[in-house]
Amino acid sequence: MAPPDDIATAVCNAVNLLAGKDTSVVSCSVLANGPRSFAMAMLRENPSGPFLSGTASVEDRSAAVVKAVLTSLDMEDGILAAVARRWGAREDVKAVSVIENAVVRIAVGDTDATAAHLGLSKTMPAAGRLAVATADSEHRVLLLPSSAIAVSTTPGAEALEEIDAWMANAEAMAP
Amino acid sequence: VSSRSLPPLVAAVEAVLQTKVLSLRYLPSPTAAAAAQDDRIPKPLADDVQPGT
Repeated sequence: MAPPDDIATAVCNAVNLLAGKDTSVVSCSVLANGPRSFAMAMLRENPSGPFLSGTASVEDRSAAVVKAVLTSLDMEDGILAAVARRWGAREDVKAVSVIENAVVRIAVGDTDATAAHLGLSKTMPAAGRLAVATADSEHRVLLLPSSAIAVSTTPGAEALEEIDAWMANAEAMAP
Repeated sequence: VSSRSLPPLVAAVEAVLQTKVLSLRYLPSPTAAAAAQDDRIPKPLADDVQPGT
């Protein structure tokens, strides 16, 4: 397994790119605790910002590091959830859904759009990106192998530029 | 994002949204696109299938 610091740094880099943060790793370590691994991560939110810390205990060592880093950033429910909440706070974004294994896990904004988001993700023949414009909305879906994030905005919303760029980056980083 | 015209997808999306689609772009991920390309290559017969039988 790669050193814990390297894994934590990779997670921070992904978070920085996908969630618009500037985090860095101060230290990270993993202890064996019976069949489980106990990871401790200390980060800085930005070079002069506060220290953040988090722990996690799971069976897989790498997963423990990833979880400890996300916990320290208050992103226990994942990067997609944090991004969904950030986009959902924008006025020109109507709704955001995070879908995992064909189930909507997080819905932000207009909950009437949730079923449409799930339906749009199911229309896609394979993983990729979908952009749809109708008279009253624009929709974007990024479908990954086991998850998806879908967004509905007002027509021509400024948010679409950021969303399109983010989805291209996220797709490129996906396994 | 490259544009692709996929009439069946447009119809499916219109059915989901219950409204007319003004524009649609679908771009498969590089992995999915590569897999689709592979599908055009004839696959070898399964072990239990004998040619000509």
